[in-house]
Amino acid sequence: MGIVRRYDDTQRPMTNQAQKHKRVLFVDDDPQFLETIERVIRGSSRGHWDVFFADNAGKALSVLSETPIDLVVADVQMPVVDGVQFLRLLHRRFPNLQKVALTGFANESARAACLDAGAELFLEKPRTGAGMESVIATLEELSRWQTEEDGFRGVLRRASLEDVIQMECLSRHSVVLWVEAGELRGEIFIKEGAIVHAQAKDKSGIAAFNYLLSLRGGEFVMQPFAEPPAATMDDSWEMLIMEAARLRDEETSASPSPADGSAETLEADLPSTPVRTAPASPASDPAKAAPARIEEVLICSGEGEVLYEWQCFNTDERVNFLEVISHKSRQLAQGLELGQFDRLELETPQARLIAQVRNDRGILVRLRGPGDEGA
Amino acid sequence: MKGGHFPTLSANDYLIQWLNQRTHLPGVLACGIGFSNKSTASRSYAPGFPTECLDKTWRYVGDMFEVAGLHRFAPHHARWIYERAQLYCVRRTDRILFCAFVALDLKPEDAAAVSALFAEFKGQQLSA
Repeated sequence: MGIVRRYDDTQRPMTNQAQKHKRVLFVDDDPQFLETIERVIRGSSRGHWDVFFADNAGKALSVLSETPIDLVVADVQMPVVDGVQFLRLLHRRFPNLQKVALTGFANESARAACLDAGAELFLEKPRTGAGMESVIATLEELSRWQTEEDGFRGVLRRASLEDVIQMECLSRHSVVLWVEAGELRGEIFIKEGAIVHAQAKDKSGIAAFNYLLSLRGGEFVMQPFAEPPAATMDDSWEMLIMEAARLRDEETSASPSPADGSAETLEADLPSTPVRTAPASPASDPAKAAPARIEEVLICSGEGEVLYEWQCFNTDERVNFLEVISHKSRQLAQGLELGQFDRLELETPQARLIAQVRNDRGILVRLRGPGDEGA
Repeated sequence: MKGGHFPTLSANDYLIQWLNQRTHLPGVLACGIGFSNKSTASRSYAPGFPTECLDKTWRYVGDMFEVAGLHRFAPHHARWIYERAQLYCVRRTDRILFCAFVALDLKPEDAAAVSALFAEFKGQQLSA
């Protein structure tokens, strides 16, 4: 078997439709299994998959470094770097990559370990042709789900929208930024790193851009570029952002009490912070409200770098736990109107664990209730 | 009614019946059960919570209970707090999960009713 084989089952030239092909990488040290997979995919004529194969983790990583892959399907039992280690590595390096674990020896502990390592699915290796078809259908469904989630959602605060625009302009990207805040919807068109048009409500051009950048909260979605109805802006993006910031600061200092009922006043439409205070858990024992003793604290950056830790028995494991929580918080909100994730609280009869995950940081605190010594 | 046999419900059927009859409370946006055989049952009571998405959600919640156990913290309750709603989850020792998306601005009496609902779910295992 070759080191890495690529099987494009359509041989079609790159068209818009072809660009939507899913690139799937199978990693397994069993050449027979990879050949069977290739045969089944070829036979089933799934014209929208480009399939890559690697027989160990190292070769898989070299494929990933050269080709944007959408989905990795990895065998759990592999020599040298096993599937769980490999998945964990992928989860760190490619957090948005979809990962599926395949195993011939499925059990609960292996399943939990793979999910913990960032796998979306844990599947038993099929032993029959029908089983193989069923696995392929499941993978197809997973990759389709990802298609629906193309682009990304994020919470917009004053600084973060500017950051996103700056990032896109610096990278000379072409995108349309959809901005939504309450009833308001707006769009900012960025073409090859230049802001060319904006529109919001009845405004367009610089007025709309300044208006959108004065929003204090909401959501944005990055969309593929489409030509704007008109090119209304030709100033440099640096100038536009600076001017918007200046106007916003002036407005803030001029109108300290914005809740005047005006539709123009964004503060009247939106909470000042996107996360409201949640009421106590109805499933909780009220006694839990009593003071608790902090037993462990971890603070890390958005990249997983430990910034502060106190009494963590294993910081790497805890950082990984925060990453899993972050990942799961996005997964379980798919298709639901939940807004930004704030935190997860877990309770045992003796203790609580609070994990807050934001784009720029993760915080984990473990508390023990009073009087629960030991354990 | 003549004496004889009542139609018997399986434990899962019984829980689905309970889900249908008891969970439509003020402030409950959607809820569902994740059974130990990985099947799920979902009920949606608010727009923005389509049942086809909820079924996946319960599966991910179940995964998280497993993963937390690996991190030496096996919870019986979990609360996921989002900007617009929070998700309460409880898992019984028979590994059956009950989860409910609840509005953030619950009135005290509604919160008490939701709390009672979770207690009822757990109590059903004790009485089974």
